[in-house]
Amino acid sequence: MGKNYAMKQARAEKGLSQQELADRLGVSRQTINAIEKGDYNPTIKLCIGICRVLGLTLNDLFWDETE
Amino acid sequence: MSVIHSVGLVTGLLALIVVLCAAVTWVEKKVPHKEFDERQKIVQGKAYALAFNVGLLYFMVITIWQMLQAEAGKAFPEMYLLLFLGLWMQMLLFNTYCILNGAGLPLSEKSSWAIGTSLIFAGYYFLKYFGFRDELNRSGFQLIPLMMGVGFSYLALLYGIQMLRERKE
Repeated sequence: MGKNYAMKQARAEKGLSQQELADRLGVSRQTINAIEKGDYNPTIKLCIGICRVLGLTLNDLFWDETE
Repeated sequence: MSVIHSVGLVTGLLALIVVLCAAVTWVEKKVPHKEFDERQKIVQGKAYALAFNVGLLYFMVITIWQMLQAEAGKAFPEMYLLLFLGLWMQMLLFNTYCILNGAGLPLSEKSSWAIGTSLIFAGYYFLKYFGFRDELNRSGFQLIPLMMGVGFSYLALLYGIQMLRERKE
């Protein structure tokens, strides 16, 4: 699983830190960091939550270009 | 101890447990609910598996070792001390894995609280061990407070290192 640059970029464009995004989603900052680094594959529920907060679609944030 | 005393002791202990459970339930309802997130629960599951498997291997090894020592007519440490050592090792292994993978605390906790709490427990057990030093009679049981103090100091150090690592991220 590669790094999720799309999510990191979207978060930066929204002006949110990892902690702020984590607080809005009800997860830990380490989990957000793990998702962006590609170390953790979030559940669909968390993916949808991330998309809602960042205002993007699942395809925008979680589509794997290497497939 | 007579039967009446035994019954009284058991009744008292049960009453204490009931009161403690009621108090904990009441406090949990008043305090905001803290939970681990989905990734942290997965990490904890892996930590439990690691601690369990290593503990199982350890208990098998010490059992075989004691059997061999007994057959050879050699002395060996008390089983209760070895079992406690195994549980202590499992506790440290579990917490090490959780802390290093960002699952050491629920969401609303801060690492500094964990460090402070660990140090308080470490201090308590170190004082308990050294307070009994004059009364030590080579009993392995007296080493338990020292082991607990060392364990909590290790966890406090680990939390501190992990905090520094996460600040760099």
